[in-house]
Amino acid sequence: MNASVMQFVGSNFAMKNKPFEFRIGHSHTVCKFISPETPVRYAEASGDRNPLHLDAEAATQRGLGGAVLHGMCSMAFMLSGLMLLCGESVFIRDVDLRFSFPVIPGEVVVFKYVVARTEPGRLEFAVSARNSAGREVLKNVRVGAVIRNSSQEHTI
Amino acid sequence: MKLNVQLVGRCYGPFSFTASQDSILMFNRAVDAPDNRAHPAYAACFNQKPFSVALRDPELNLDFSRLLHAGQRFEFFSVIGPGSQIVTDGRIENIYAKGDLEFVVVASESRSPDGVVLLRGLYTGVVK
Repeated sequence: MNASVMQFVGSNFAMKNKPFEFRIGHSHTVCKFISPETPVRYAEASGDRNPLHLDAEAATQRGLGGAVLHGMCSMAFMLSGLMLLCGESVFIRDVDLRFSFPVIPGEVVVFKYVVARTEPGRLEFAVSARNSAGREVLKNVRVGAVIRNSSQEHTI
Repeated sequence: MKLNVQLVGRCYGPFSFTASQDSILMFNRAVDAPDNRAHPAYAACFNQKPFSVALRDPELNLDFSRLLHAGQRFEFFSVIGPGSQIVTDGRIENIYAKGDLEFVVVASESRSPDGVVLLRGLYTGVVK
């Protein structure tokens, strides 16, 4: 992470301080530090208490070298970064991805968001997510979003 | 093939859930959500339930200690808020092998009590 061009925003997110333009090919990068307590916080919030994420010994027995972050939490951070970039003007409509490599608490994940497609009122982002070693932790990531409009959503 | 392919088509649910302000904020804090709206991934708190239950179905013959979450798809149709009542059903869509790996795919749909679809999830687990 280049500290001279990144600013920390929110909790452990860092991003360049420039607006995200919704035109094809435009990209933006967000870095996320995965704090060691993240798996416990996510387990409490989601109810997913798989020992793989909470018990280093159990994870090591499976050859993972220590407790790993929930895949769904990696996905959530990816979406949080996009929501930070886009603000409240967009509504996440769909997401599709593969979990390709475990995320280890204590490392930084770099999310790169590229505007892949635009249609009236709708955007599609291609996203890459790499760990500190440059390895892809999420693959084939596609996120669809719609521009917020009171006629396109409702709250129950 | 160790997984029981006869379970393709088996359904799980319905599971009821009520979203609360506290659980939304707790989830948002855990995933560093940028605002107080329910984060899209809050869906994991209720839509994932059929996947979790299916994986523990003794007839599936799945060794849970060898399972990893391999893929995820969501379609969101509505915003969840405090007090939202949600009913979720799921179904094993597919069980297949690719090389030494075995996969189980569960589709899950969450609706309001009057039947409006709120979101759909597709969960893929891999047994290594």
